Amino acid sequence: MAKSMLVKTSRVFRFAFQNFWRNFWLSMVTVTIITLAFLSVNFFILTQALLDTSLQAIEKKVNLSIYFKQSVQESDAQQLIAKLQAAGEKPDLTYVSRDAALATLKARYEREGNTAISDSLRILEVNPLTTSLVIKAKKIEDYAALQKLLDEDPYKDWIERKSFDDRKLLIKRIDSLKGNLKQVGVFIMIFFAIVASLIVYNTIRMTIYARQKEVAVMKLVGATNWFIRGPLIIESALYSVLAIAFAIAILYPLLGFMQPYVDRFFEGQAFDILAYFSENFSSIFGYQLLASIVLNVISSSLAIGRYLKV
Amino acid sequence: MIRLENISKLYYPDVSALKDVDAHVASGEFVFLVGQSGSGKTTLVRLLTAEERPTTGRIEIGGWDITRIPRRHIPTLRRQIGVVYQDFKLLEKKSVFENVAFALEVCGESGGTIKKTVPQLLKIVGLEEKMDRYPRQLSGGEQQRVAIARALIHRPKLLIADEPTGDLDSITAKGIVDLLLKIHTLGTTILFVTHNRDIVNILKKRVITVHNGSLVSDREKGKYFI
Repeated sequence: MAKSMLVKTSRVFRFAFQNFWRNFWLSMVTVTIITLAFLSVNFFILTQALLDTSLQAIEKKVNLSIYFKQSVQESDAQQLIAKLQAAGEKPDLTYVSRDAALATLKARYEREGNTAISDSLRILEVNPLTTSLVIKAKKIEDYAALQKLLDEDPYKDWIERKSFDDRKLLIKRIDSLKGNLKQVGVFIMIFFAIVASLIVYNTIRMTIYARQKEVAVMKLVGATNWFIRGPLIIESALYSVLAIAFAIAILYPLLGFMQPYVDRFFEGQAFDILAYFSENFSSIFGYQLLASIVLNVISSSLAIGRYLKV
Repeated sequence: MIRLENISKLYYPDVSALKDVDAHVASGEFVFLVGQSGSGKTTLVRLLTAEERPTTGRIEIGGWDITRIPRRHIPTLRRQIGVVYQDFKLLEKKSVFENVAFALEVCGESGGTIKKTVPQLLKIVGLEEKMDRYPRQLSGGEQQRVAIARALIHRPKLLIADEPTGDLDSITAKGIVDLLLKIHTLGTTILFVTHNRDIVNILKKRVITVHNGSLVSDREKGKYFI
């Protein structure tokens, strides 16, 4: 019994490979369509990754600089720093004391051989620069809360000026763009999954439709449904495996070709798209392969059902 | 071998393909089932191969009541009766050897048995030299011989030939009839469905005639009279 099962199973696999080979052109058409579906999905993934990287690049450039009034003591500044660090996700804070700011300024002008600043300072006899604090939030959304905190008493009276207002609009736009992209992305992803599923389902259906006579003959010579269904299901899984292999073989050279253009677009903000796909290889292609196999198996099972009623 | 009791087959909404057909074919008989196109011959064959179920009545094959045969038992039934069709029903993508072997492979027969049995049968039907060819590379008569070899692979007690000479010229058709007669002499019951008047009249075997879905005549050494 077990031996007979083993023999039948091995035949199911043999027939699957034999069917694939002997219906070569039909198989290749199916594989090509599934490959195109895979390529489209991967280009969508690439677009998402590029958009994410663009947003990260813009976000990195956003910071909030505050300049304290001359009267503010260092201890007050430290109090504000402690308060900021306790607020939500710890922002990166760069504290620049008056002396440090002066030293930096002096060094810069002296390097250029300009003595005007040193001379002016000698005349003034006091350090005219103020203490400043550069705040870099972990997330773009955090700036709103940070700004609210800075507007509270007593901090608002310590601050001479902030550069935050200048970026308020940009931050707001990035924030809403990101939200919109996420929503649109989910919608496109669902839409895409449905379209890809329908294409694959129809392709498999057409493949089986072209072989309905063969299925009927198999039934008439005493083949069980399992014996007919098995090779077709394995064959459809084979379509997925080959299609993902073709998609990878096409995608990687294309990514290599696109890399210089991506580099140019991001201007120094390194985003290695090849590395991105390689690092996420198993999750990107593994899930696609799994989804495709499941879809193909369901499609072929549904498509073949009607022809098994002989 | 075959027992039909009061068989009727109605197709929706009110097409009556068979009406109250009663017949009995004994083991080892050679019987012609004749009638004009649309008389119900093919419907009867489809009932015998469980492609259809009768609306009323009872069908028995080799003592097995197949009237309401469960779907899971249909493959077993089909492995016990050989069927040859007018359009051969060969698998186009399989070679002659593979077409015949397929009927054994579906029931888990070992590779050794298949390699031994298939060439023997192909020799009987005169195709041992062409077992690597594909159906499209064979003549109509040769394709029908492959179909006969496949039908015989399980050594069935009953062989149903549904218009086996319908698509063949008279000389090739005679070759197929001779082959079926040879198989009959080996003890197989043959139900030969045809509307070929010449074959029926020459062989002088039992003839069952159906007309408009009813059995109108059943004669030993009969003739085609419609």
